[in-house]
Amino acid sequence: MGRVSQTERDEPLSNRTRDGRWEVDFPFEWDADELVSRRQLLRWSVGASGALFASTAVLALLAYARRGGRGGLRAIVEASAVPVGGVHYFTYPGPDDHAILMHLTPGRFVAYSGKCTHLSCAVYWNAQMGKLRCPCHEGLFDPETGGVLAGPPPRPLPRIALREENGMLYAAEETPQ
Amino acid sequence: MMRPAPGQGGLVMLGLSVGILLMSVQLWLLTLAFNLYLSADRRGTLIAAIASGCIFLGGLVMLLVLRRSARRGRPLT
Repeated sequence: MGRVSQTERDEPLSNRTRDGRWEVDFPFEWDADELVSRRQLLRWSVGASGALFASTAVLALLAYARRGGRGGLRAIVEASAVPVGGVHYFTYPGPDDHAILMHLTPGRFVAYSGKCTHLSCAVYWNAQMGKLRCPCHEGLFDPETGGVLAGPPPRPLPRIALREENGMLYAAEETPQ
Repeated sequence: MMRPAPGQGGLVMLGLSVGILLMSVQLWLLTLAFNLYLSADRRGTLIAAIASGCIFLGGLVMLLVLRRSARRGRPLT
């Protein structure tokens, strides 16, 4: 690696050859520091601010454009096959989307998406704790509401609307809450 | 290059610092809007977008004021 003498350092870069490797990799001089004025910095900042605003506005537009929920009507299981306090794991709305059906009290069923709202790990029913648990980062959800009780998940579990017809339970729609 | 008038340098730096701080608020608003979007909270997402837009407009107005003062020849920055 070549060293630059004081005389070489003082003369402008255009007058000397770049023989040192570091000069090729980092071809900046102290003089270049003056090239960015506060006005330019402000201009770039306003540009970046506009980009951030545009991204947020796109999200707001998407929120208004999207439909209420996901999935159509699909049979899950016969209601009699899930005892009170029992759970049934199924997939909804897609074949890779895990979901949980729970029989909380006689005749009262609830279903939630089985994907943790933190990092999409599979959530399962922990009978000892009496809560829905995500084993990845110890996230806990309330079986009554799907709300977050502990851990890093930022949102409640999406709820799956249920319908019961002739003893058969159907998933109707998955909606975020 | 235009330089601040004597005694105004600190004021200019303060303005720039506040602007950059507000940009970080905008970044936070964006993450907040993502979270609200995933929760299907339309109103919350809209409020985040409006707040972010206000900050952007503030910066834009500041830029226009500076440009106008530069045309008049007042050495603000």
